[in-house]
Amino acid sequence: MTRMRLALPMALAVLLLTAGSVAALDDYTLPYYDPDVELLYGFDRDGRVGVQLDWTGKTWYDSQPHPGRVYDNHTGIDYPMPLYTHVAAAKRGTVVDREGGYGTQQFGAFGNFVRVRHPDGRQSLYYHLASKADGGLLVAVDESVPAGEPVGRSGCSGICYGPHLHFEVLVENGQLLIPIDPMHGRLWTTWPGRVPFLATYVRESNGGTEVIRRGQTITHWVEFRNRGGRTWRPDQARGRIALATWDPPAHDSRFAAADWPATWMATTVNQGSVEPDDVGRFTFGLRGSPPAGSYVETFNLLAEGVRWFDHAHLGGYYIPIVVTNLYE
Amino acid sequence: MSARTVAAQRAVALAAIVPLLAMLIVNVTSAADPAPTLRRLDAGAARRNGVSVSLQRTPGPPAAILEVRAADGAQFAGRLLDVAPNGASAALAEALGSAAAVLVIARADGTQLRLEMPGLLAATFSSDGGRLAVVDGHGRLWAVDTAAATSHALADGPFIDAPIVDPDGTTIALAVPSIEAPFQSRLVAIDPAGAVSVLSDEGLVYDALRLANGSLVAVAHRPRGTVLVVAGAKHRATVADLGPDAVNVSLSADGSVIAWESAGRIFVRTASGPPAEIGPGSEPAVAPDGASVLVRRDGGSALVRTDGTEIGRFAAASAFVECAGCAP
Repeated sequence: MTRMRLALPMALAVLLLTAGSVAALDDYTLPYYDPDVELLYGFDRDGRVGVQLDWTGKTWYDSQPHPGRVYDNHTGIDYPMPLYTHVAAAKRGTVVDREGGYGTQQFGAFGNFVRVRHPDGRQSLYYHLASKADGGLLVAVDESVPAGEPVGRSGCSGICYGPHLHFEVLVENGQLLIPIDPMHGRLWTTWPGRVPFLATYVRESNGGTEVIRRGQTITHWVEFRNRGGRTWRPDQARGRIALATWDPPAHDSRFAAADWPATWMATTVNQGSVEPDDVGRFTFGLRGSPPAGSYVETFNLLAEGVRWFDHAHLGGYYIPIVVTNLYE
Repeated sequence: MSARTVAAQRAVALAAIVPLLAMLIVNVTSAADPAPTLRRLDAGAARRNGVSVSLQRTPGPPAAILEVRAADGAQFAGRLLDVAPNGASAALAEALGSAAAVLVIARADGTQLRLEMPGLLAATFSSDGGRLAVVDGHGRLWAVDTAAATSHALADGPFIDAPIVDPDGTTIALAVPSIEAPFQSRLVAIDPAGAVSVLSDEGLVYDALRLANGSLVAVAHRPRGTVLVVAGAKHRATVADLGPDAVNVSLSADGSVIAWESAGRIFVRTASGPPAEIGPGSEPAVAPDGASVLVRRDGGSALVRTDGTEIGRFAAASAFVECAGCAP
C-alpha cells in the first residue's frame, strides 16, 4: 500500500514546536460568553493513530475514554453548548469564509462554519454551526468583526453527535492552513481561558443609599474589574463598554442627568482602555427628577452593539435612591 | 431564561455528546490492525438476525427507484449510503460514524455481507457494483470486493468521502486535514495501488460527480458560494454558480439539471430557467434523465417533478437505479 503523503504532518510538527514562542502579546478570548462552559476535547498534538498528547504534555491512549482531555487526531477544541448559543470571534479580524447551507442538526461529511482571518496572520474556525436559516450565521464574507463579536450560533451540523462548538486556530503557511493548539503552554495568548466579556463589582462612591434633592444632580461612580478577555474601551464604533440601565434592559431612566449619552446609558468607561484584570471606573450623574420617594435604579455593563454582560457576575448591581423635596 | 434552565440545558448537551463522541473515538482501528473481514449471511440468517432489508424496485423508464425496507415491514433504522447502479445491492450503515458501525451490503436476493467498520463514514459502489470504496472513522480508505468478500486498506488519508469508483479501479476521494471540521478538502484520485494524485486546485470540494460523457464535475465551496467546476480541466471551467449555502448538489446524467439543498429547502435549476425552490427536504438526487428529483422528506423519500409537483412517496430511503439492470 502506498501511503498518502501530505506536507501537513511535517509542517504541523514544526509549528507545534514553535507555536508557544511566537505570540506573547495576543488577546484571543474564548469563543463564547458563558464562563461556565466546559472543555470537552482538546487538540491532539500527537500525530499517531491511537495515541494522543494533550496540552499539558500528558499522553493518552484510545484504550480508555478521557473526555475533558483529547481525542485522536483532533485538530481543534470542542465546547458543548446548547443549540443556538452565541459564538464569539476570539480576536478581531475579517471573515474570509462561511457556510450556512447544512441543516442545524444534519449529520454528514460537512457542516456549517465561519472562518476569520486575524491581523497576526492566524485564522480561527467555528464549526458545526446552526444553519443560516436558523440564525447560525451572523456575519458575511469580508465583514470586519471585533473580538467578542457574535459570529454565529451553535448547532450540530456535519460529523456531530451533540450540539457543540468545534473551535480551531490555524496559521497560514503558503497555501496550507495548519491547525495549532491554542492551549498548549498557554503562551500564545495573553488571556487564555477567558470569555470576552465578564466583570465583577469592586466598589463605588457610595455603597449605601444615594439621597438626592429633587431637581439636583449628584455624581456617582462605580468600579468593576475586567474579568473577561477583551480590553474595555470607551470610544470604538462597536463594542464600547458602557454602563446602562437594566431590568428591563435599556429602559429610560428617571435619574438620567445631563452628562448621560442617552436616557438609558449613564456613561462609558472613564479610562481610554482597561486591560483584563484592571479596574474600570464609570462616573455619571444622577438627577433627582421624580417626585420625592424611595427608588432603585439597576445598571449593567454593555458592550454596545455586541451584548450585555452577565448581570449576576456584577453582583446584581443597583443603586438605592431617595429623592427629597428641595426645601425639606 | 433562568440560570437553572441554562445549566440544565448544558448538562443535557454534555451528557448527550460525551458517550456519543466517545463511541466515535474509542476502539477505532489503528494502522496496524488487519483488514476487517466480511461476514456472509444468507437470506434466512439475515432474517433471523433481525437485520434483513429488502430492496423494492419501482420500474419506470429510463430509471427505476430502489427503496430500502426492513424485511419485517418496519423502517430500516440504518442509513442508506449508496446503491449499485444496476440496483442489485445497496450499501447501508448501522450506527453510522460510531465505534459500533457496521457496513451492510444488502443484495436483492436477501443475502448480506456485513463488515464491522468502526467510525464508518461513507461507502460508494463502483459502476459495476463489484467494488466499494469505504471510509472509516480515521478517514482511512478501504477497498471492498463484494464478489470475493474481501477488503484491504487502500490509502491512509484522512479522507472524508470517496464519491466515485471508476471502472478501472481508480477511486475519487476528498482528502481533508480534519475529519470533524473539514473546512478544506482536496479532490484526489487514488489508483488501485494506492497512489494519490490531486485533481483540482479547489480548496474545499464537497462532492464529485461523473457525467454520462465522462466529465468529472467537482462541487466546490468558495467564500462567495458553491460552484460546479470541471475537474482536471487545463483551465478552470465553471459549469454553474449556485450562490451561497448550496449544498448536497446532484446532477442529471448530462449535467443540464441541477438540484441542491439549502438549509432544508430543495432548489432545482434546469437549462430553461432560473433556480426554483421545489419544497422542503434534504439530499436531493436528480433522475438520470433530469425529469424528476428524489428528496428525503418526512422520514422517507418523495419523488417530485422539477416544478415541485410531488408524484410519489416512499416510506424508506430510496435511490435511482438503472432500469436495465433491474431484477424482475
